Formats: sequence, structure tokens, C-alpha cells
Amino acid sequence: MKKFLFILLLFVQCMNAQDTMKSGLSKRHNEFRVNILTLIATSKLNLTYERFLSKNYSLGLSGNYSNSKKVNDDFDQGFRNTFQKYEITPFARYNFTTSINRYYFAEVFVSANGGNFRETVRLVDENNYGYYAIQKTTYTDLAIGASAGYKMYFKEKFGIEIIVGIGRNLINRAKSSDFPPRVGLSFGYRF
Amino acid sequence: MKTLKHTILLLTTVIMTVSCSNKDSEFYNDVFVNSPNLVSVELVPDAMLKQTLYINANIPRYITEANQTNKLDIYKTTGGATRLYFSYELEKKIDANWSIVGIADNQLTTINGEAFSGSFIYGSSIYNPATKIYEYRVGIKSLAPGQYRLSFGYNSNSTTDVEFRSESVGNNLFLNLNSTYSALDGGGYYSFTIN
Repeated sequence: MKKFLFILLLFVQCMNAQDTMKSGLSKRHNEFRVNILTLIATSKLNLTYERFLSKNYSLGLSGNYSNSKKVNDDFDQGFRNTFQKYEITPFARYNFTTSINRYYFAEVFVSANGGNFRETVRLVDENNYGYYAIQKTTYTDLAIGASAGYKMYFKEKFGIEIIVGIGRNLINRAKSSDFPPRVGLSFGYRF
Repeated sequence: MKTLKHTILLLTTVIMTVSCSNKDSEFYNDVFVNSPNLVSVELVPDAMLKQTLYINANIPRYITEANQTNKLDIYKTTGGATRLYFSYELEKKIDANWSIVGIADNQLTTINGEAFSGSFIYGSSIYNPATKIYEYRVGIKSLAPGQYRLSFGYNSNSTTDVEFRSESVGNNLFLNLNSTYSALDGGGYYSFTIN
């Protein structure tokens, strides 16, 4: 009997805590987060701000910046021909589960992205001899895409988010990546 | 449990996607150029009438390039490469079968360029600034009498071309120079007999 009471008490406590968390989260409409996966894997800094409009809908803005030595070296040594340096991604997100504490979501996004591109071109010098050279230029492009992910909160304000998605660049695919990915494992703070 | 499975699936997808890179698929510092007749092979008898097989690969700095009107400057393209590498191997007919002939160092007569011997020969045409030619002339002597055939490119699938690859200085381009040699037969071999 004592055991039963103890378990019941614990259950009630948990329910109360969850309710508090729910109500706590619903009062917090803003979130900042950092994508730790891209930071570790590709030295890309990715920061996001998300504004929660209701239980189901939110809007946000992500920004990427990358200028790592490793990627620069790969680019210079010819192991890649594009180097996306920045990306600004506004998104609209829908929570399609009932909970606001742990939920799956889907989003659509637009991505303004740009960086460096390299190609080998044949030129002619002043003596009328041809030669091949690496020509580096910059590019900008605009992509649209969709993503899906999962999010969970703890202590009413800290969140972990997993997201995977893909976009399609529309304007400058000769230089930019055809399908820019949108992936991440982010740690956030909701306030 | 279902949520956990979905989360793991999502996380795996994320990690796989972020791990994807174009590094495995392509290398962008390569240039491929076709230019014919840059190689020749000759059998030269010495004073004792013993034959030496000479391979010549004297490649001008400025070469004609297929489908181009201007000659190509190899030296400028490669950022000052002083060597063009290529390889070849020798086989001898023994009892109706072809066997690879190992070449010893003392069998090589190097006039120009550089060659490393073994089960195949790894040669370098070396740039001579005075002549503006990548020069290679190396002979193989003391071959036992018999039927031989020479093929260019160790592990190469080409049956028509001799394939050169430049060294690359810094992050400059590697030049892959493919040169047809009309003396090769349909299987890509240069056949000859040592008497």
C-alpha cells in the first residue's frame, strides 16, 4: 500500500510538472538555438531565431556562415568546386502533434545562399598560347524546400531539435549546389 | 518506443546527410588533353649488334591540342611542372603465353629523363628550360632473344593512348595528357622481336 501511494504521488508530481512545463512553454514565444551538428561536422556556424505564433504555428529565421580552414583548403586543392559561405533561411513551421513539450514538425523554407565557385577555363596569353587555369567566382542563389524534424524540451526552456530537409536552388544551378540540404541537431533556449 | 524509433531514424538521416560530400565523387584540379604522337619506340643495334629498345617521350612545352587553334602551354597550365610521368611494361612470349619481364636497374640506359625499373617502368619526362621540351629517352638493353610486346600505362585500360600525368606544384592543375601512338596494335601493344 505504501508502495502504491508512493507511485501515485510520483505520478501526480510528474503530471503536475508536465502541466507546469506545458504552461511554461506556452508563455515563452521566442527561441534561440545553435546547430551543434554542423558546427562540429563542417565548422559551419548556424544560428536560428524562432517565434511561436500559436501552439501549432511558428516562424523563424536561420543564418549560416562558414569560413573554415578545412573547407577552404578542400576548395583550393580541388576536392570541391563550390563552397557555400552563407545562407539565410526564413521558415514557417507546423507542429503536427498535440504536445508542445515533445513534437514532430514540418516546415517550408526559402534559402538565400551564396559562396565561392571554381571552374577550369582555357585562356589565351599575350603570346597567343592557350593555357588552362582555375577561375574562382562568387555566386548567389535562391532555394525553396521543406524539412521535417523532432523537438523536445526540458526544464521548460531548453530544447533539442533534430531536423532534416532539402531545398532546390532555382536561379544559378550552374554554380550553386542543386539541392542544398537543411540538417541539424540543435540546442536551443526558449524565452 | 515508436517515438524513439522515429527519432533514431531522423537522427541517422541527419547524420548521413551532413556526412555527404562531393569529395568522394570528383577531383576538380584535373585537366584532360589529347595530343597525338608524343611517344616513339625504336630498336637500336649497338656495335656488337645487340639490340636496345628505346622509348622516347620528348614533349614540347607548347603542344597542339585536339579541337583547339592555339597551342597549349603545358608549363603554364601546370604552374611550372617540371615532370610528366608515365609508365610501361614489357612482356615476353614464353610457350605461347605472355609473361611480364622484370627489368633490372642495370638494364636501363638513361639518356634523358628518369626511369625506375621493376615489374614495370615508371618514367619521367623532365623539363629542359633551354630547349623548352620535356625530355625522355631511356633504353632497355640485354634483353634475351624472343618475341616481346610493350604496353603503356600500368593498369591502364587504354589501347590507343599513352597516358601522361604532370606533377602539380602547389594547388595548380594536374595535366592528364593522352597521346595516341599509331604503332600500337588493336590490343594496345607494341610488338617486336629481339634476335
